[in-house]
Amino acid sequence: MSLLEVDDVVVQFGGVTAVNHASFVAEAGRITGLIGPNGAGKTTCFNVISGLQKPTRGKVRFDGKTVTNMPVHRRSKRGMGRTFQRLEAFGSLTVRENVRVALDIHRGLLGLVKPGAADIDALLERVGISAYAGERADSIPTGTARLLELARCLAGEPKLLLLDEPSSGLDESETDAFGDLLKELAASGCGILMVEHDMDLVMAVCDEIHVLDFGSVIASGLPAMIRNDPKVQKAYLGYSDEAPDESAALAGMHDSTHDTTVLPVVGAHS
Amino acid sequence: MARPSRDRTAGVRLLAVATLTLALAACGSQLEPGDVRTAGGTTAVDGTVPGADGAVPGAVVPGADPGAPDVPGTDPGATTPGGSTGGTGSTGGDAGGDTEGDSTGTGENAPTGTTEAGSCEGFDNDQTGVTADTITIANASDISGPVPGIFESAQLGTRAFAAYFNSTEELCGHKLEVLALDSRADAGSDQQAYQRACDETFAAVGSQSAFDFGGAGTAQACGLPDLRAYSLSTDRTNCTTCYAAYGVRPGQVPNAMPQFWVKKEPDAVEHVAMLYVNAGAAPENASAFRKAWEANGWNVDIFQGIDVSEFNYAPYVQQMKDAGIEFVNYIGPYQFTVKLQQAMAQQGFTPKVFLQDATIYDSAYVEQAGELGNGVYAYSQTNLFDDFSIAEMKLYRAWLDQVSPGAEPNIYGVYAWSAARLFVEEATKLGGKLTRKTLLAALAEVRDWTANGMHVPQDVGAKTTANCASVIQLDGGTWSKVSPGEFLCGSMSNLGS
Amino acid sequence: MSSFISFTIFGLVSGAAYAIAASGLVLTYTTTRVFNIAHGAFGMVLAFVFWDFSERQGLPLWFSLVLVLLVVAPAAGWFVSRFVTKGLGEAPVSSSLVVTVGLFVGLIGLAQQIWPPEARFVPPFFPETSFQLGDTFVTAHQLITILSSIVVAVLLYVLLNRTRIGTAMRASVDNPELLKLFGGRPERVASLSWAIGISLAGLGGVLLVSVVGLDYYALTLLVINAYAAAMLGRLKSLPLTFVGAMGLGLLTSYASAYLPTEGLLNSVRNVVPALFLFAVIIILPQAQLRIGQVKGIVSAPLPSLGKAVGWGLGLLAFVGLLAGSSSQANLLLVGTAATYAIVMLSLVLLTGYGGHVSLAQLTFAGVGALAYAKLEQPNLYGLVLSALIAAAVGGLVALPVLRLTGLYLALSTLAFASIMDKMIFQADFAFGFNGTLPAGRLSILGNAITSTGGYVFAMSVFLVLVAWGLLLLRRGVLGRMLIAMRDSPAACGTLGLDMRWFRVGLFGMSAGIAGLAGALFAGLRGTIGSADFQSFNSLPLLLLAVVFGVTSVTGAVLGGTGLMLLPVLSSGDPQLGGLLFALIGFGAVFAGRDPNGLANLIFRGGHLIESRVAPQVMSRLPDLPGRGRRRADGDSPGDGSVEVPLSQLTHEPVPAGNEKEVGAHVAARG
Repeated sequence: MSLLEVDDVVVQFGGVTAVNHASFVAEAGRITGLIGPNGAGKTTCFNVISGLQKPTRGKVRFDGKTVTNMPVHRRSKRGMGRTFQRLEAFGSLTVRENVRVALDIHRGLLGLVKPGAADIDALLERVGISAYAGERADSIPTGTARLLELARCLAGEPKLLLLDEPSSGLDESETDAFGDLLKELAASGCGILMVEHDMDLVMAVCDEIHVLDFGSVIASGLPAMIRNDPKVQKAYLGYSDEAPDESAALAGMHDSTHDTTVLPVVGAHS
Repeated sequence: MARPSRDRTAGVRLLAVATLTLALAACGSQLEPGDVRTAGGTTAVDGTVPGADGAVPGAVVPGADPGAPDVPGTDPGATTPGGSTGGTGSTGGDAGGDTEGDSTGTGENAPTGTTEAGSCEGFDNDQTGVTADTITIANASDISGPVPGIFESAQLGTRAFAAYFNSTEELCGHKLEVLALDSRADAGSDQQAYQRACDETFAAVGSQSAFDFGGAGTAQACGLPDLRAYSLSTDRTNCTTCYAAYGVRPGQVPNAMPQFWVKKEPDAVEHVAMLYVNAGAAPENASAFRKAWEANGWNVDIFQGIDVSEFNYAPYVQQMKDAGIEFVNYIGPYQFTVKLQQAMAQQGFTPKVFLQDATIYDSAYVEQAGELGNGVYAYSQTNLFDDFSIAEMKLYRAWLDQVSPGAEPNIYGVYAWSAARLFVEEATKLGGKLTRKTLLAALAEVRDWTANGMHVPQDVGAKTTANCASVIQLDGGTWSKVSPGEFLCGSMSNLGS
Repeated sequence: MSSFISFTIFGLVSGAAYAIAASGLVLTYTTTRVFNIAHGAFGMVLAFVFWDFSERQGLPLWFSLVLVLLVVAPAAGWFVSRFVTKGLGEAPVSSSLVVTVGLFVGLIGLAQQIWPPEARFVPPFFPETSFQLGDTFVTAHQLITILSSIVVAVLLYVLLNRTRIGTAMRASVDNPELLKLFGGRPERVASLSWAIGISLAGLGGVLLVSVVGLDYYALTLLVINAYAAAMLGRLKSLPLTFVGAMGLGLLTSYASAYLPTEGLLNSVRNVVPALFLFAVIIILPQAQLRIGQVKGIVSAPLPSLGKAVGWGLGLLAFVGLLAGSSSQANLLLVGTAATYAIVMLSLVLLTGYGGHVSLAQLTFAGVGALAYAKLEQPNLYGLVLSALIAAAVGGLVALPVLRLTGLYLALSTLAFASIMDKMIFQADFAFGFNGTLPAGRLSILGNAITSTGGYVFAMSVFLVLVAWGLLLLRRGVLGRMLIAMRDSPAACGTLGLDMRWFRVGLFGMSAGIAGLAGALFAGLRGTIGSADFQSFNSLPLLLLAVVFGVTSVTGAVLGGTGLMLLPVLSSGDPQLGGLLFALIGFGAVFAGRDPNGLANLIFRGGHLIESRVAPQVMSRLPDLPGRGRRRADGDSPGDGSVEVPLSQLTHEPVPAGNEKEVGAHVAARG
């Protein structure tokens, strides 16, 4: 049984179908990539998995249990952590305090073991943002804030990490270090499901990749297979005018300005 | 009518106001600040009293002192001498218009009436609110608040009488000054106003506030004589130093008015609907009325409260139609009366009688109701405001016009004027013995007070409900009396309380 | 039977009016995610405009109607969407609520300012025409109302379900990103929906005005009933909203016809819409946490412990001075200001730290006052118990909406306030209908505080204690947690925090503080009644708290003083009342996005003065004791909770400003 199983999930907003019968899995100890053009439904999938969005149809199983209707915090208690594409750092707290809150939550407000400075330092050190410890979270660079979100997750010692575009905002060397960190985490047994636009990173670290387009999974497999899948090529190349970078990236080129891609989603289904 | 009607509906109107769901501003006493500004002056009392002999009415226009506009409440603490005593003030303050012959009275209508002035010997100038040549009285009424100016008429009535008094008289060498306070339609502000009255004035006169329970304890604690226009709350009525020109005792309902209708419309009183606004004292009042009126031979088929926020009156009208109602009584603010009458007109429902208390005896109602108001009856505890055969009414109108040109008379103003007159007459009688204590003792003895025929006899000292009323009818924008004689008087239904 | 049909028809007429109002509400919410509390206020203002055109200026009726509905209203809607609510849907719910409550109060003030109170009358359409249906007359106006609601429903349905842009508009409430992806231009869509929404508010107002009368409050508050209808459709579904509106109309009509006219059920009649709203909120399904809202409200600096203690004692000394020198009447005002300040402290906790909005804070104060008067224990025990009772009630209000988020919580407080106003406070076991209760002044450890001065001083001691308590809490683990929940509920959830009970606790604690204020106020006043805690007044209270700064204790103290001064000032000139309302309302509209309010300006100004001027002053006064040293080493608590640079912690002039405020009001009356 896989750590995470997404089973035939459908999400509709008004008349728009954002996720269309998507099914995929993520395994413990492995890094799974979830890619696709903008608007393909990747973040919506994350929301469904973490409990922030109720699916119109379908199921989510996590760690051997169906969690489709489980509240967000209970999924987290069961070992699910996530970061956000649009930052959800506690902006008016410092970086340290952000992590401290996460530790407080994890250990319980009435817990006897209060988080010490050492615990916090260790987490900051691990993701490499110790230098920012005293700054307000809304004043640090985007990439750093993403790492902060990761550090917060790690405070909860998760079994599964859902990372939503974790590397955007990081420069090349930071991205490399980040990739190493991911591998390290996976090696320690943590499952990682990652939405990522940086194809170099995806191809470098992922053990398996699922491709979403128009809310449906159009391909799943090893990085090499995905790279050469004609359907995937088409999903990206079909809109090459709007998204040259990603299709280019798929073809092995690197470009870091891929954040502005705008692709139309599925048309109104009426 | 009993405590109920006036005091109650006033309370009702207020509460409704304060819940802020009440329809629009009421009182005809609503003033444009500009108008007021031209009115009463604040010139110092200097003791010269032109017209003291009553012969120079035109010169006694309360003078405007342009430098000291006294919009009531502009400065909540402003002392507004009841009126200018100086001929100096007659410039620019003549907005009052024709005061010819109306602004002075003689005999019982003289400022001190026909009371025999007590000896001034031993007058203690060292009392709170008393100086060598002034006695300051406070008037705390609702001026600002959700409905600006709602009880301004009470303050104006008090100031009008003080102005009248100052024009010709003094009390053992003292002029009257009125400390105009604003109770702001709020209990806390009422308390605060009464705290000031306690500290700075000799007595409070002619006050009228929606939430008058606020200052009741304060007045009693400092022994301040509080001679109100009306007292609305039980707390105020129970306050031992508080009296009101319009007296009430809970549970007492006069019988004369209902008996009048039994004679006049014997069939209609068999099919009565009583509707009341669900706010303030209205529900309690309504049920007291119902008991008393049924005891007098009415048959109340429908008895129902309507919420202040209700806008669809049609269901209530439908009920009345279904029940074959011929006599409708409503207790509530006149704005709601208009709504009810609109719904009645829309549903083609015309009962024989539509009766309300004097709440609708108000120019604002007449204006707003328009044709709907034709034929409605009201029962009132005052005489008609334009019955100038009553010299006192004429005086009130004239002096009201001088302190605030264009201000409309109303029941609160009448009773405030009445309270001020009562204060002056009792104080004059006491003369040198005037203290808060002696004044209170004197007020406790007052019975059958009519302010020279302005209103029904009031047992001020006993704090009992008046047993008289008149029935008036509106037609073509004018009210006229339909009940015989001056007032209908009779026994009381005592419902306990 | 025939009368049943009549009541049905009347109910449908009310329902139609609700439906028109509610559908406008739903439209603006769906597309911009801003719940427009001021929807009714817009309807009211537009009804006044309609009166102005048709009655005052004497324009033809149809022309006035066209002007109002097709020109003025859409223009107002466009203006609001461009300049007032732009981007508000992305902001925390508390911001959008505060901004629209600000509009609400501001519009009422504006209307009073432009159209001062006088008797005004708008006749119904075709006043002479009516149709007989059995026993019942249906007027042309009523028929027009029903028909309008149907036309509106059909047109909106077509717009939202049969057009491309409409489909996107519907999607955008759940996922604003989709709209962009869909090719819609969010700004244009927002302007369009606000234009239509305000037009519908205007239509509702114009149709109701001949029945309700031109009144600032009645028309405004009436539309609150429509909230319940909109809520049935979860603020998204127009058909359900329509059903809800008609259901509500019928329910109120039947209630007035068939409920007994005596006893508790009689009072139920008056709260049918509020109960309906409450019931609908309770049956709503679990709400989803929002993600992607703007985070990181710049919080007011947290003072160091030393400063908090210093300024607290300074405030006490100042009140002590006042208590010794002011007249009793003015002391009552100071006491009132202290009461409001404590209530505002409860908002600092709830709104400033917690990011939730309560529209019933004064009602909680009323609960505390009621408990205090009923307990007849004028001592610390009675006081604490009163606060606890208020806290329990606050928790109870939050409990039914456990599964829901900010907006619903705020609306349920609105329903709660209305129910308390019309049912509970009036009941015999409470203040009684139109009644009052005596309340004794507090005695502490057997020593009764009888003098007003002493009592006011005691009140300010409680004020300072509560303020210190809040500052301590803010520094601790709970405080961080509160800020975290305010900044990102979604992150807290995904980190494993069960926010539901936390929220109940927070709400309870805040209500408890308000209850404490109410109990103290009861003692100050001696006689207390439900009239002292009118639910409407919670709105100006909230707004002033925000304008003066709902994130800081200083803001609460200033706000309390301001709220006390408000009626005093408008008493000076009754016409000023409207203007002040407008100022506060529109002030809150702009302050809504920066809840640190004026207090923060003072902090900044103070910092500026201190950094520029103070050194010079101090160099000339070398022996000003302790000052320089304290600043140099005393300000950093060094406990990891500092969230601003050291320099910003210095906000010396706060109490100075405070002093000025208090001084000003004393002078005004003096």
